[in-house]
Amino acid sequence: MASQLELITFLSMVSVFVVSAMLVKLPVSLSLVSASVVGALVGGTGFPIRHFVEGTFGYLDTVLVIATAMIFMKSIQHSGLLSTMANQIIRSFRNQPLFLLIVLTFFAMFPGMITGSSTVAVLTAGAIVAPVLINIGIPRNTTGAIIALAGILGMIAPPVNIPAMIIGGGVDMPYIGFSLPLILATLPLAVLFSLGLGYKHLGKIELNKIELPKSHYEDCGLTLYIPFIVLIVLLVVEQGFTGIVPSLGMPLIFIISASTALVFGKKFEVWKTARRAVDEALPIIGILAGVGIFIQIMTLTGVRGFVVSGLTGLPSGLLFLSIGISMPIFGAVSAYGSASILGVPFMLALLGTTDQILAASALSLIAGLGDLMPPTALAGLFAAQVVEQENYFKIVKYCILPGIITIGYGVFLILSPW
Amino acid sequence: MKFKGTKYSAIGLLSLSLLLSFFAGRSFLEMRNPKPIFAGPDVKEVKHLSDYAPVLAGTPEDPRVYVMEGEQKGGTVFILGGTHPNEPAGFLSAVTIVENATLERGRLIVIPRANPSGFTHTQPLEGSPQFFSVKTPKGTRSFRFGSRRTNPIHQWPDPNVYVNKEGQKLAGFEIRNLNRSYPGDKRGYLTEKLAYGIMELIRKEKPQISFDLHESSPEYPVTNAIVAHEKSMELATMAKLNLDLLDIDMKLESSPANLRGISHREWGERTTTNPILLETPNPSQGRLRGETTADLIVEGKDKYYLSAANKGLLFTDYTEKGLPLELRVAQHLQTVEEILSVFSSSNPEKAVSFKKIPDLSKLNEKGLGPFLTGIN
Amino acid sequence: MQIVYRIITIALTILVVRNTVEEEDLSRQAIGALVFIPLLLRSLMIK
Repeated sequence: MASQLELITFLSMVSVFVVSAMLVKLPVSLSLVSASVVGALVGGTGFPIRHFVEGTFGYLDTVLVIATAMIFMKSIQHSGLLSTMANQIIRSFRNQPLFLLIVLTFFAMFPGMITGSSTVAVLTAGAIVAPVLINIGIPRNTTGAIIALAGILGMIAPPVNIPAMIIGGGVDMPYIGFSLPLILATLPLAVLFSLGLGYKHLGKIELNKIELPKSHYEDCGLTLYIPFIVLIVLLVVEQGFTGIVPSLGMPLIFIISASTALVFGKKFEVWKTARRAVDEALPIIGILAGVGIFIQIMTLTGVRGFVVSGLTGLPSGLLFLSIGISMPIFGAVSAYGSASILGVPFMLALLGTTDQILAASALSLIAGLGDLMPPTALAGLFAAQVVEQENYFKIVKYCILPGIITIGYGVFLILSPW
Repeated sequence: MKFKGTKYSAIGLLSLSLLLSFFAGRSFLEMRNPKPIFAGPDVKEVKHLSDYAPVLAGTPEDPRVYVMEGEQKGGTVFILGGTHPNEPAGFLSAVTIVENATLERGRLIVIPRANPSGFTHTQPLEGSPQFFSVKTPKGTRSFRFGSRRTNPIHQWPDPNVYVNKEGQKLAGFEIRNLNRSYPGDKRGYLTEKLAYGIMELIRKEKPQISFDLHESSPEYPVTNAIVAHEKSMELATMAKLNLDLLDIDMKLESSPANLRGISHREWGERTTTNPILLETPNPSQGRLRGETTADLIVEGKDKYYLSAANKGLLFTDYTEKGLPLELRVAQHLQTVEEILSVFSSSNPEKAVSFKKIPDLSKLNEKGLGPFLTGIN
Repeated sequence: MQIVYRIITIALTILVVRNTVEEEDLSRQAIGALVFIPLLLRSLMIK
């Protein structure tokens, strides 16, 4: 068989990864590196140093976003803002828990909607929402699942949906007229998932019975909120006035907002906080570097082509099955990667058979699920970090059913007559 | 598995990283040196784009401009290659013209490396080779295979979303894609300045026809294609008929009016030129390709494309013979020649015609190598 | 903006190196060394 070498390379990469991660218990990042080194050897490309190093650049921009977002989070945690906000939200909405849950879900989606990144959503609004949900009685892992899903749906919801732009860019379809289809694709799911996961845990909130997070409002006053306001303003300006105001980029926005926390709020040590933040982000940053190498070697050795051509050239029934299964799996790398590598060929296969914009919206929705797929599971990983759960599988577990529903809904949207 | 680390193990590991960075860095730096392009007999002047747009002077985005002139006066034609350095036939067609073509009438202005920064790196995650080589009678000649986008070393970071000057919303990385940045901006991002420079050249030289030479994946509908603005449609239609007679399969595609920022649209809207964009199929940039090697770039042979072709998924003919680079270059050059001949016969006072150009029959007979020997 | 991002990248490189040298778990040191590569090269090469 002509594809034998690629198949063997693929299987050796996967098995080295699984053995390293599960049996040897190496961290995910190092397991990815081991699998890549073996893959390159088996694939007959030797020890291609340039490709290994080039791969680490694949997600460098995301690495910067994560590192700086962690610095921001640590800063507002140490300045007292995080706990103060949770305290005040709970006290203001104590009589309407259902309303509170829905509002917080939309709030957790918001940064994703305007930046197109689930990571940013989970690490900013998610970090604020999480302690509130935990305090009103929703279990830690369920809370993690709610903010991870909200982050992903926020990333897909309009106005900014980068996977849809990538899919559109690959088939010359401008990013115009996507707002309504994307609202249709995301809002019903957002409400469904947060109620489905959270409703049964909601009871009457009795302030004297729960341990409220500490408020520093009395000491610091309204100025405590300045870092958060600066962040929101910069995010909105960045997205709302693109082309008019020069772009600062997410990392700089986080750094600027974090530095205002130095002035407003409890005092903390900058260098120590930054080191702690980078230290906590290290496993994730490492995974991104490892995944970059892994894909670089897959592409170099032809394994990517083997996988993509196996998945895309299918008859229509199998095609939908393949979309539903392979896009999230490939997205384990990143939703953007999935949109580009598989989303574009799938879109090409669907052209002319269905409404293009709705199909691209639905494909982006399914690609977005990739952010929940181990080993990377970016949204799950960050949500775990935010709710202080060490094992992110415990969070991803609660996302399985919503994930299946999302896939089903996505395929339904592609097939739907309108 | 947990092992205790010490200061020494940390320093050892970091040193290993330094060593890997050193070797990789050296190989990245190799791509900074441009491979020579040899001016052919009719090249009268070699300028820089900054001669038209001084804002580009001293930046990494100041490509060379080759001005060729024929014996008799006529019109002016502009040829842009290397907009996307991972589309080698576009770039090599421009090089072949600069090094070999002679003109009977008119002027030809050629930029072979439209985005010089894009030639200085390869796209991470794509596993691309940095160089490929063509056999010539005087030995092998090597060329750089770059990236579709400007090097982030020169323009960084990307915004989340790129809204170009025409209001088109694109994924952020497209801000480093020259062919999404037209009409450009003198004060904008580096790639936008480059696009502005190319617009300036077209405004000042007033070419009657302007070509942008590209390649695309074989699974992409717009391949083997002449993409024409409304203004150039008649010209393209006539040329296509001639190409049909030569058995060259070039489809006619009209430039979509709502896809803004692309050469065939913005050149047409904002200047007097008639824009034409050409696409030939290139397996080394497609998503279905197998092992990514320099041979794939030159020979275009790939088993996954063959099986995709058998399933009817491609928009081009594809057989065991692959899609060799010389064939793709021939397709570009023959199309350019046919379009110029149609134009010249209906506009004799503005005619631009070749005395000699390595077209389909010559490339079929001799291959590409003899036209890339670097001397004339 | 390039200069600002160069500074951010250099700062992150330094943070990663400091953490790696003081890290006591060997596998975390290895991750630090891995992440060090792109940060260092970008810091050095950016124009």
